[in-house]
Amino acid sequence: MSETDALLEQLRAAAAAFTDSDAHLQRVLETMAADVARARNERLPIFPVIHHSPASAVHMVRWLRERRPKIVFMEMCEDLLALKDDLRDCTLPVALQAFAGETVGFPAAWTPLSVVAPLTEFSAEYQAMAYALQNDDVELIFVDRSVDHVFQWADRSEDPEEPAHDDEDDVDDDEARLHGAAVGIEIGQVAPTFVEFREFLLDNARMSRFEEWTSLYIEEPTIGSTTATYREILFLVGSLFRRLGSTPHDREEIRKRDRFMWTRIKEHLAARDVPPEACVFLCGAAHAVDDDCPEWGLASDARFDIPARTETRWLYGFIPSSYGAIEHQFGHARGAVSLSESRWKKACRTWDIDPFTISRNKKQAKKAKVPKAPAQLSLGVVLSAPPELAEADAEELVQWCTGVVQAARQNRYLASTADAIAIYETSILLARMRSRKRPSPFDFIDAAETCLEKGAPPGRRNIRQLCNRMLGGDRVGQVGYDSLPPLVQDVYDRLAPLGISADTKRITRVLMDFVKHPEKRACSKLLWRLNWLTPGTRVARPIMGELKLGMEPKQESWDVGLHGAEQRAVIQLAFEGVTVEQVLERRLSQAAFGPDARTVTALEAVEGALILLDSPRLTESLGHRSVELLRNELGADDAAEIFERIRRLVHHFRGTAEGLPTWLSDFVATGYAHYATQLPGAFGDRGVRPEQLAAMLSFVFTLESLALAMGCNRSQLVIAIELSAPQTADPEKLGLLWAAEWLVQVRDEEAVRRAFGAILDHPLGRTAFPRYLSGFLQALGFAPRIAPIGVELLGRAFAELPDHVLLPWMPALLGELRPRQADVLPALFKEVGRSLPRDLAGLDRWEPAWMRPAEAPPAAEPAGPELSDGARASRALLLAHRGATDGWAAAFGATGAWTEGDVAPAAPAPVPTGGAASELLARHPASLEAWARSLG
Amino acid sequence: MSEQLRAPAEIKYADELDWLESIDDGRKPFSWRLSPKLVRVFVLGSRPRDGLAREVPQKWFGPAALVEKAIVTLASDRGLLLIGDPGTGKSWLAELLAAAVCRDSTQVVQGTAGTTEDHIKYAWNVAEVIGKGQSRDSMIPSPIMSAMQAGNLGRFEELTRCTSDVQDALISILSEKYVTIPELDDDNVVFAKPGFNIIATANSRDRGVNDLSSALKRRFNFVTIPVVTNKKAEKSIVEFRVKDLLARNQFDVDLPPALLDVLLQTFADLRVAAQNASSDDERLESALSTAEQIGVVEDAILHGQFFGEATLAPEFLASSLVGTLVRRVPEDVSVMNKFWHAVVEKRAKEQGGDWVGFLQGGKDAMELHR
Repeated sequence: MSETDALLEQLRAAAAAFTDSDAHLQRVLETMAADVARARNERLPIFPVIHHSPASAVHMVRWLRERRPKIVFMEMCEDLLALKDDLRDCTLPVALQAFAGETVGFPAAWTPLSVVAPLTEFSAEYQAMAYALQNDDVELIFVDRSVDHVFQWADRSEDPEEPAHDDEDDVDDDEARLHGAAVGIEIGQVAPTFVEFREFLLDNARMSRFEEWTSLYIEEPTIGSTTATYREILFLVGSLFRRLGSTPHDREEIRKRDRFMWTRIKEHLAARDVPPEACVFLCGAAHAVDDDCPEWGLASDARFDIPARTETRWLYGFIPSSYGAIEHQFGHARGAVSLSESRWKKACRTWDIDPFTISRNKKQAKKAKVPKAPAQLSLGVVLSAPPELAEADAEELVQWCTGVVQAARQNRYLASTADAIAIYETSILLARMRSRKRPSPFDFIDAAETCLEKGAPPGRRNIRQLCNRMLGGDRVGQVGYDSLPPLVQDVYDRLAPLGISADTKRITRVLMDFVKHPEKRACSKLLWRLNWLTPGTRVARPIMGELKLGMEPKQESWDVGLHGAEQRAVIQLAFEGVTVEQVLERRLSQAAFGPDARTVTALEAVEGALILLDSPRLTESLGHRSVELLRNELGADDAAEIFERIRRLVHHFRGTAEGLPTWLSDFVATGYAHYATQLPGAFGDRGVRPEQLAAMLSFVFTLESLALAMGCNRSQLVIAIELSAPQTADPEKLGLLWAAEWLVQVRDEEAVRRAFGAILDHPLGRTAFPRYLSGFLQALGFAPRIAPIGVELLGRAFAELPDHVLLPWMPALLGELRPRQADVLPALFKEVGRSLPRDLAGLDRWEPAWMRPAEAPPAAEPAGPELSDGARASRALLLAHRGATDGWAAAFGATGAWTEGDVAPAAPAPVPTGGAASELLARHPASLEAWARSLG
Repeated sequence: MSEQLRAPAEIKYADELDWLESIDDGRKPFSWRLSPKLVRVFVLGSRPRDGLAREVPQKWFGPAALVEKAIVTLASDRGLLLIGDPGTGKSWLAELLAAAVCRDSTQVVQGTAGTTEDHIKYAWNVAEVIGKGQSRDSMIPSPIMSAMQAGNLGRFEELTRCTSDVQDALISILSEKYVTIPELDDDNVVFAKPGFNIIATANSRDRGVNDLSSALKRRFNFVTIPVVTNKKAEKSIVEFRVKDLLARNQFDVDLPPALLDVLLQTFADLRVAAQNASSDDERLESALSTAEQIGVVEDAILHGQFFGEATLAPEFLASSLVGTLVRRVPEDVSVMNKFWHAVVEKRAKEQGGDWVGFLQGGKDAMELHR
C-alpha cells in the first residue's frame, strides 16, 4: 500500500467516524489526499511554508543542506529581486519596500502606493535567500506577480491602503506602525479567510487565536518530524484551507497567482539548462495545490498571458521592520512573532541547526554543523498521536513564572513569589484543560494574567505586554548604510559631527553650542529641515531652540533618532528626492502650487523657504504665487493668519539690506484693495465672523501706509466703510464698524460715545450692549487709540448693566480677551492705569469720567495779547461807550464790528490809583469834569 | 409546574450533571464532582471534538478563555473574583460553576452595606445560647462556613458593596482555610474541607464600591467579564434566556429572528450613540447590557401574552425598550427621543418591515413620558 493510499484510508475512516452520510465528506477528503499526492509527485520539488514559522525554517535549512538546489524559485514579487544583494547590510527584521509617489492607471485616491514584504531570520524565505546569496552557483528567482500587479488585481471598490490588524489588541507603540499605510505581502499566508470556517476551527479546538491553533496543530507536530512528513502535512493543510477555508474571491486570487508563478517558472527553466529536480519552489502551503489551475505543474504546457504592467514608476528599497509591525500589519496576535523567534532559537539548539546568515563577506569559512536527525515520524503517526515535544522543559516554565513576577514588580504590581507559584500551578492546570502536555506560552500568558492582573495596570504596561516582552519582546531591524538610498546616506554624513552612534537604536539627546562649534550650524539647519519634513515622528525634535524669521540661535538641544524605528521616516523621504533640500523644495512648491493651495499655505511655504532653505529664487516664486492666490480668494476665512504672516514677513524684509521684495509690496497693495472691496459684503455676510472682519481691517489699517505708497487710494476704503454701514445689523459687527468709521473720520469720538450711550440707555438695547462692546474691542488690535473709549465703555457697562446681563457676559469677555493678551490687553491696561486713581486717597476723590457733570463750555477768551490793568480799564471805558468808540474809530478810519464777546463789564472797571496820571487828574479837576461832560 | 419559581442551576440541570458525572473519567481536583474539562463542557456546551454521546447546550456565552481561567482558579489555592459591568452574567457564571463543581450553588452571601462579619463567619442562636450556653449547637454557620465544612464552593455576591473591614474577614478564610470560634473553649476551629473555595462577584461600574485591600486582592484571582458586543454572541444569549423564560411561564411564543435583529441593532446603535456623547446628560443612564436586552424582550413577551394578541409585536418591543431604558425624566426621554428620530426613523425608512412598527411603538411610548 502506498503512502497516499494509507492516508486516503485514514481519511476515509475519519469521514465514516464523524458523519452518517460520508459521501460528501469522503469526496472532500479524497480530493485533499489527491492534492497531497500531486504536490509530492511534482517534478519541481515544492517546499510549502508558513509565514514566520520556525518549523518551516528548520526544514528549509535541512532541505537546502541535503539537496543543495541550484535554483530557488520563491513566491515573492518578481520586481523586488533587485534588492536581494542589499540584504547583506541589514539587521533583521527589515521589509523590502516598493513605492510609487505618482501613479498611472490606478485610482487617484490610492496614491501613493506602497508595498512592504517583511523578512525575519526565522522564516524559510530568509533561509533560502541567505543560502542563495552565500553560494555563487545558486540562483534566486522571485516568481510571483509584480507589485504593480498587486494593485492591478486589487478590488477597485475598496481602498487597498488599509492594512489588516487585530482589533482586540491595543497598539500603543510606534514600532507597530512602522510599515505605515503600506500593503503587506507575506510569503505563505495560511490563515483561513472564510470566517465561518475559521471560527469553527477555533471553536472546535477551544482556542481564541489562530496562531495558537497553528502552533499546536502545525508547528509542534512538524518541527520534530522528518522534512518529508513536514511537507505532506503542509500540503494537506494547504489543501484544506484553500478548498474549504478561503472565500471564493481569495481562492480566485490564489489561482491567478498560481498561473502567474508557474508561467514564470516555466519561462525561467526553459531559459536555463537546469533540471527541475535540482531546483526548489518555495511557496505558501495554499499554492501547493492544483486547484483548477491549467498552468499548475511542469507537466502542463499551458502558459498564462501575463498582463502588462502600468506606466507607474516604482522605486525600491528597504525599511526597518519590527515584530510588532509585522503582527499589526498581518493581524497576528500580539507577541506571536516574538514567540516564533524563541521557538526557532530553541529548535536550533535542540537539533544543532546551523542557520544560513547573510553577511558582508560572501564566503563563510565556517563549516556548517551537521544537524541532528529528526525523529522518523511518518504522516500517519503525526496525524494520529500528539508529538513528543522537543521543548518539554519544566525549567523554562519556572523561569517564565519568576521572570514575569520580577517584571511585574518593576512595573509597580504587587507581585511576590507566591504569585510565581500560583502562575506555575495555573499554567499547568490550563494546559491540562486544553489537552496539552505542557503549558504553551499562550497558556502561560493567560495564567500570568489571571494571577497578577487586578483591575487597571498600575504602570505603563499590563501583564500581557510584560509577558510578551519577556518571551522575546519586540525587535526593530535596521537598514545598513550601504543599502540606504543616497538621501539617507547624505543625512548620515552631514550629521556625522553630532557623533550619533550608528549602533544605537535609541533617541539621542544632542546639545549644540554654535559659539564654540559654529560648524554645527549646518547640522542644526538639516535637523530643522528634517523636523519640518517628518512631522509626528521622533527623527528630529527640538527640545530647546526655535526657528523664527531673522533669529540666530546660540544654542540648541535636540532629540535625534536616525536609526531603529525612526529610520523608516527618513528612508521614506528618499522616495521623493536625492537630497533633503530637494524634497523640501518639492514639498514647499506642492503646498503653493498644488490643487488645494490657498493663500495661507503659499505664505507658509514662503516662510518655510525663507527660514529652512535660504532660497531667494524659490521664495520669490512662491511669493508671486501667493499674490495670485489672494486675488482669486473668496471669503475671509484665513484673513487672520494671512495678516499675521504678512506682518511678520514685512517686518523681516524691512530689516534686510534689500528691503521689501516686489512680490511682498504687490501682496500688500493687492490685499489692501482686495479686503477693502470685500468689506461691505463681509459685513453683510452672516457667515463671516467679527474676528475675521477684524483681521481684514487689521490688514487694511496696519499696512495702509505701505499700500498707499504702492498707489492704493484711501477713498476706496472710506467708500467701502460707508457702504458697509447699511449692510449689517449684527451688534458685534456694528461695534467694529463704528471703530473703523472713527478711524477714517466718518464718525468722531463724540459720535461713537453717543452711539454707545444710546444703546446703554435704551431699556431694550441694553441687553445687547456687551455684544456691541465686544465688537468695538476687536478694533483694539489695529487701533490702540480707541482704548480710552474702550475703558470708559467697559466702566459704564460694569456700572450700569443689570446683573442678569453683566454676569453671563463676564466669562465670555474673559474668554475673548485671554487669547489677545499680546495685542489688546496692554493698550487697555495702560489706559486703565491712566484713568484710575493710583492710590487709596485718590479713590475717595475719584469720579468716573462718565459720571462727571457735563462741563460748561469755557467762556470765550478775548483773542490777542494779555492786557495791562490800564488797557483793561480803557477797554471797559470804550465798551461802555460804544457810540463814542464808533465815532473815534470812524475818525481814525478803522473798520470792524462788535462781537458777542464784547460785553461791557457789570461793574465799572476800577480806576487805577496812584501814578503820574492820577496826580495830573487830581490837580486839574475842572479839566476832568469838562472831559466827563463832553463824553456824557 | 415546578414548586420553585426559579430552580438553582444544580436542580435545573440535574439530569445533565448526573450524566456528565457518570461519563467523567478525567482527573478531579479535591472533592469536585466533575473534572475541569467537563465543568467547561457544562458551562460552554459540548463540541463534536469532545466526542460526547449527548449534546450539552451552552449556558454561558462569552470568551471561553475566561471560563477556563475561572475553573483553574477554583482548582488552585486562590479565590475567584468575577468583575464586570452589571448584566454581563457574572452571577450566572458563578452559579453554573458552583453547580458543576459541587452541586450546590446556594451557599451565597449577598454583600450589602449592611453585611457584617457575622454574615461571613457565624452568628449565635440567642435563645439557644441563653438556654444551653455557647456551643457548636447554638452556633449559626454562615453560608461560607457551611461551604467550608462541606468542602464546597461558597459564593459572595457584590463583594465590593461591603465595607472594607467586613471584606477583610475573608483574608483569614482564604489564607488559613479555617475559622476560629474564640467564644468556645473546645472544638473551636472550623477547618475547610478540600474542595472549598470562594467565588465572589464585584461590579466595576457602581460608584459606591469599596475597593479591596491589597491583602485581599492577592488572595483572589481577578477574571474580568467584558460586555458582550459581538452581535452573534449577543443574539445567542438573548435567545437562550428568552427560551428559558418561555419555558418557565409555559408560553408558546416565537421570537421572530427579524425582530430580534431590530432589538440587537437598536442596542448596538444606542451603544455607539452613548460612546459618542460628550456628557452624561447626552447618554442614557443604563449600561445597555445584554441583561437589559433580555429584560426588554421578557417585558414585551409578558405584555403581549397578558394584554396583547399573544404574539410579539414590534410595537410592544419598542414600548418595553423605552420603558426599560428611560429612567431619568426628562433627560433620558430627551436622549431617547433624539435617538429615535435620528436613527430609528432612518432605519424604518430604509429597511421598512418590523422597523416601521418599532418606530411607531417607541414614539407612542415616549409620548406617555412627556
